[in-house]
Amino acid sequence: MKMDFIKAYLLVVSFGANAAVEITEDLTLSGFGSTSWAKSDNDTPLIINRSISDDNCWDCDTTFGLQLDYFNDAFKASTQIVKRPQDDWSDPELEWAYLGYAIGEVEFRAGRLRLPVFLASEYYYVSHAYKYARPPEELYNSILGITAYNGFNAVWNFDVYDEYQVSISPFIAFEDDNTFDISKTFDVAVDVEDIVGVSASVNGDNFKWNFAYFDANYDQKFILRNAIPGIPYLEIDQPNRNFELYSFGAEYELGQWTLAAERQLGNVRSTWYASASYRYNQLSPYILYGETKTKRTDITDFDGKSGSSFVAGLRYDIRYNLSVNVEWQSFKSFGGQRGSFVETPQDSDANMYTVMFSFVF
Amino acid sequence: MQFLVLLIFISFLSNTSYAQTGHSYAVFTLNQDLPKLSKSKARMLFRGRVKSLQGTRIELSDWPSDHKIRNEFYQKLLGKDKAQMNAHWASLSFSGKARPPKEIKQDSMEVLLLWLEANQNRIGYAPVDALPKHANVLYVVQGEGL
Repeated sequence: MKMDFIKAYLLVVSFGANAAVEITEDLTLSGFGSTSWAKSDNDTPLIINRSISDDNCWDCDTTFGLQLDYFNDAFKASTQIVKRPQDDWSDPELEWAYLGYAIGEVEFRAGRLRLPVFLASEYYYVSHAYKYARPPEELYNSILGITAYNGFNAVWNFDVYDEYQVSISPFIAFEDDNTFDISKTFDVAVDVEDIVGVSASVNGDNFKWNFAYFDANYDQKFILRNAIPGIPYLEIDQPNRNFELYSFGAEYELGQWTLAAERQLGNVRSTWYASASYRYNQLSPYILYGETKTKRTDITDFDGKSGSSFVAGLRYDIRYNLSVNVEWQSFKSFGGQRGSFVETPQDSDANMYTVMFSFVF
Repeated sequence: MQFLVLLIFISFLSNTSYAQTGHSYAVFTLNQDLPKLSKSKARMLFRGRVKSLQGTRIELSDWPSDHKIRNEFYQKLLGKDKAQMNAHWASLSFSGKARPPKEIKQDSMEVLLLWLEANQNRIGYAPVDALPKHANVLYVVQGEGL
């Protein structure tokens, strides 16, 4: 696995690909990747789709993506294939493939698209593009790590007072099936029937605000393998479920400081985080705190704070397109809930250490 | 720990790479119809946050990645170094929100002018004293962002 990542990186370097590869005037190939060493001091795995426990893990975060863009005036076609942390190299995921056409200030897109919920949702897998090694866990994994949908959107961009750029994007998603390997004995299958939502952003010279709302109807199935003595396989159907989510986020650049905070309110859980980073030459130290509150539903009677984490880290830009993050993250779960663990832990606290390399071209 | 100390040491050593010169840089086009830009509009244009001017979709150019003009321009306009700009454009291009500036293949004013001449919606930047007479200067950057 690790060798595959190194081969991928060497392939990129051998192309001389410091920047995107321009195949023709209109056709561009670009890519990104991350790999890490990570270890926690708790034997219950942490973070959905990454499963980092108290063994040295060299492959829990490994990501590699390729993006092909075609531009011709108002027409655009784009596809992105990603080997996500949970994927084998032989089975990457088509994260997006869409056609777009712009009429004036409105762009219409159809195909497989990225779910535009949080500030960094649309570049979730591009670690080099944000300060931390991973996107804030509480928020970005609060929708089970679902990052893409099949459907349509329209993006309307306009100026306000000539100083602010506003973007409003309604979207609609259709049938899509996702299965998540939560642990060795537990999978969750989510069959999305439809999603209707809207995202909006306001961009100023030194700030960015993001709002999103969506309403999803889906069927859920818990799949247990050898989780209960004497029962090798068990499926628990939970049909006709609804997930509603509101999010608000803001990022400000104040001199060399970057401050960001996001809040998500939903009918299943609500989460938030706040972070601060400071740029000093090629170094960016940062801190981040996040919390999850679980809400009472037909699945759980628990209602209250179920998890939190604190991150202290340092990013160093080795080259302009290659960075390393050195990070310590402290997790807590409360009330017998799983928090950021993939299943309810015996010990509710954990410390996790990460050294992650990331690049783009 | 030794690794961290080494990183900090290297970081201090490389501080001098952003030394400023007295150059002023012009954001310009060969299209005489495009309007002058305010400071914030010019900054938002090169952050990829503004994609069109007067209803025209804009294409931007960049000097080659290691070129001094490119590094100084972004330092003066946005107070950002090359790595920060690269990470910023990665967030836009890998979310499908904007196309990064077109990197001209040679560090030559003639190559830049040929690229600009090919389409009226193209905008570039260069030292003020290197501009041709028919350039439409949209904004002049002088020691800002620091």
